[in-house]
Amino acid sequence: MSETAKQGAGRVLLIEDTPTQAEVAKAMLATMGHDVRHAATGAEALAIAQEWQPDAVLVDLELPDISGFEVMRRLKARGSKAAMIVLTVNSGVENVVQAMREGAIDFIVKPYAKARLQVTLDNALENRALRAELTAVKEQLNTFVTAAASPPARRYGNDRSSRTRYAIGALVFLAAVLGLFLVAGFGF
Amino acid sequence: MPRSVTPGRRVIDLGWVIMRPLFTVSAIDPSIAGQLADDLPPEIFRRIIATFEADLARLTGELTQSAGEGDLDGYLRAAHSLAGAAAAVGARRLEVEARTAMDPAQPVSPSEVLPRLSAESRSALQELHQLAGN
Repeated sequence: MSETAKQGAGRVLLIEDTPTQAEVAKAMLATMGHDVRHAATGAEALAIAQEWQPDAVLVDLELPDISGFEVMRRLKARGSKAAMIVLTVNSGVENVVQAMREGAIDFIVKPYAKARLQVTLDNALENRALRAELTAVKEQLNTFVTAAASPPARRYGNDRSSRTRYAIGALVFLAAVLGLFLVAGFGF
Repeated sequence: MPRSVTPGRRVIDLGWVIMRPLFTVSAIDPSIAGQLADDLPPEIFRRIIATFEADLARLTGELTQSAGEGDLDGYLRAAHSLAGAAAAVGARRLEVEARTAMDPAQPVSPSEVLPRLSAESRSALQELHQLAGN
């Protein structure tokens, strides 16, 4: 099986300002079969994410305009469902904890090998897919529970013609009952 | 008149020629640069080297300019980017020099650092080109 045909390929937004690092990451991602877009600044990344809706975001923490943390914060505020992965040279606990608080699913310490990038990205995309599936199941369950809890649908609607038909039906039924009584009365 | 060389001296010189590569630390980390060369198509690897070369020219220029203007922020930013670029292609000695340049705990004057960065840049590029078969 060729690498490009592997499962789990997705739309990946790479946010990296140093051209060499971006070029290396883009090459690795392309050989994994991902559709990649690259942004060199936070502002550019936010604009791309708005119109492209990536499945995963690889974000460098040190960008020339805003920090990688700020990019994640803004993406989250806009309701992005992308799996966010932080690229950092500093794997200190504080950095990692803050990344997780801002919504990162994982982090990669630079420099990194292709295998590390692939495993992290595959896990992140799988995690994202499972979350989406869970949300869909929850929605289905909610619909089912709501339908089960509401009263059964009425036979006739609430529109005027339905009410008229219902009234005519009732009159016919009453007339038939009266007719039966009359016939029965004459019978006696 | 040429200086006479004793047989003992010849043996030592020959031994050094043979053993020297074992004591010389390569400018690039084979576990990163070699891996890139193995994982990526040759033309992509060559493109990465070209991008790295352009980054080196730009960033060493920025370092020199920032040092000349006394712009510490610009100097540190350029050193940080240089370290990142070097690390990405496994240019480990260059990365160490760039990190030294931005380390506040070991202040080194730009006049000392810049020539070392240039020398390491040349070594790294030379080894990367060899790896790419250029």
